[in-house]
Amino acid sequence: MTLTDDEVRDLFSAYHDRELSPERNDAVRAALDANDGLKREYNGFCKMLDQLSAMAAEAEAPVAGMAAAKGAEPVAPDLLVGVQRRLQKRSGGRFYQDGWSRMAGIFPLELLATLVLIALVVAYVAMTMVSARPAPSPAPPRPGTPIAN
Amino acid sequence: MTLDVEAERALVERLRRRDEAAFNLFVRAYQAKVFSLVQRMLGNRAEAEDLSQEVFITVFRSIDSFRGDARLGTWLYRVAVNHCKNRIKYLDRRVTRGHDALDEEGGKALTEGGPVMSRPDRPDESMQGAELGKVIDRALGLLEEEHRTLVVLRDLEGLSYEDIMTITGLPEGTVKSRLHRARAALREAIERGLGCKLPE
Repeated sequence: MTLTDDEVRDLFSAYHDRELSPERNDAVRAALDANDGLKREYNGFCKMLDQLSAMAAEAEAPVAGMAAAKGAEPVAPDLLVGVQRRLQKRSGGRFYQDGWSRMAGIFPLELLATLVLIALVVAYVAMTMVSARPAPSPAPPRPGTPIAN
Repeated sequence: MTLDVEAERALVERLRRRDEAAFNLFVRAYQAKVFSLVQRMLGNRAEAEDLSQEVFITVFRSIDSFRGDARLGTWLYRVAVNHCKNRIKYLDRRVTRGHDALDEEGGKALTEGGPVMSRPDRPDESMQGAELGKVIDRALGLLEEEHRTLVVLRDLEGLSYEDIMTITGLPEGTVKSRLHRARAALREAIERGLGCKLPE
């Protein structure tokens, strides 16, 4: 199998990851051996991937506290305080007590808000009806009752 | 920190019981990895810190929905990648609307491959160690979001194709072909910025 330079370039990634069939793998190797320019390109490609691995290793460095002890710039900040603060704030301090997020799923806040709204409307209508009812008129005098002067 | 299957199952059970010590342990164990992934995706430390915290809060709130089909760490990555995609879209929209002049300039540079990377006087000398790392870091910001995701997961986080398939929801063939295109695009971005081929 003979490959053109462009075909070999398209296979750099798979060749590097050893994802090619034995036949294609041999064809790429032969093409690289036969072409110094192409081989240099492939080596540059490998260098880029090696550098990515090195960057990944740097990211494995410790979080703020340990990096500061070494006098280095912290690679990753300590997120715990911020995470806990947000959790406490959003759950009203109940996250670790009554299963706030689970309750939210069973009894959604939208339903609660709707029920409160309905209760307020009912209360308002009841109060309106009570205040609009006419006051009872005084009872007429009984026959024979003397009228006071 | 990598937990074995049994330890991970025990940790998930404690998380479901809202055990505060377990939550603290979980954050401490995974924060460096999550922050690293998010920072690579967003290219901004302050945004990454904010979003990483949101990732953990999402995990805590939805731990009951974790079925255990994937490893906990893989699931965490999936949550993180989804958060990153949403944040990138949000930031892109903000740049497009032009609300923030400074952001707009940065965004233009990213989309047009403009002045983000400074050209060194002697690129061959600059391509060593940390310097090359900086160039690659900037070039990552030039990639499309889906390409950046694959390069970050495979080449920076060192995840297997299987994990990447779980995280992205893409089939194996698509992951491989897109990763190839992503690496080629990264190489082009680096070489365009440097004005020369990547040296051996």
